Amino acid sequence: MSKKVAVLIKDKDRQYEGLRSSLGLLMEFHVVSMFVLNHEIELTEEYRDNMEFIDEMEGTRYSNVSANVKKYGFKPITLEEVAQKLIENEVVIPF
Amino acid sequence: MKILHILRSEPNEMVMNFIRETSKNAVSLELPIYGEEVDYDQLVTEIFASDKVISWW
Amino acid sequence: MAEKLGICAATQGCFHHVLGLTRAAKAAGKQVEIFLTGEGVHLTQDPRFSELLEAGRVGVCEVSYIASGYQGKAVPGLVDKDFVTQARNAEMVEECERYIIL
Repeated sequence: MSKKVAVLIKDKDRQYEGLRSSLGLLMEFHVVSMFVLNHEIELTEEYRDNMEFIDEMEGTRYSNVSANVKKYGFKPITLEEVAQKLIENEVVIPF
Repeated sequence: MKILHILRSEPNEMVMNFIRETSKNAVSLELPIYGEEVDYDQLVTEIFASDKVISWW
Repeated sequence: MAEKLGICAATQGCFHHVLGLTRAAKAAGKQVEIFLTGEGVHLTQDPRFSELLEAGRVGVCEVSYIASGYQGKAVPGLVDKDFVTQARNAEMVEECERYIIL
């Protein structure tokens, strides 16, 4: 049975692992929200490709960093709103 | 609803806020596993006694 | 059927926690599924790794293992089928009553 899963990524050096994990969860039909917090992503080719898969698989990408919203299409969110989202998700993974 | 917060390192302000907000309307327990001896038997007991477990950074 | 604990190990310095939790869970009658990914694949090189295999089922992210420079390096106690994709992690989230990341 699929679960609602929140993946939290706060460090740039974990950005790609967190993204890969989010994608893996989506491919097994979980409902995934990925939150990139407090840093602008570094858009490598691999990151861009996998980020596009996240969108195709209907995962949701949120960030509290405006550069991620403006440049890379993340949905804007505040840390207060993130906290509320964490309540809604059955599984929370601080990656 | 019982929620267990496992702390892998000293929580910063953001994490403390997340813990506070997600613990509203719940019975919550914080168990640090950094900087001290960990009672893994107790940790396993609490993991399975909780409805939700979050292992913070 | 025994309840399952899923452990995703994604950091390098967490071996003692993974082993401690796995042993305690097994002693409490639980099954333990472990997935090593990212820096967590370095746990395969710990001298006590075989002790972990005695207590839980371990899968290693093959992509992370190769990216960490271990391509072609065998791990005693692991076979080809233990080198897996991120799907294993997603299965753990689905199947395990409790799931944590370390």
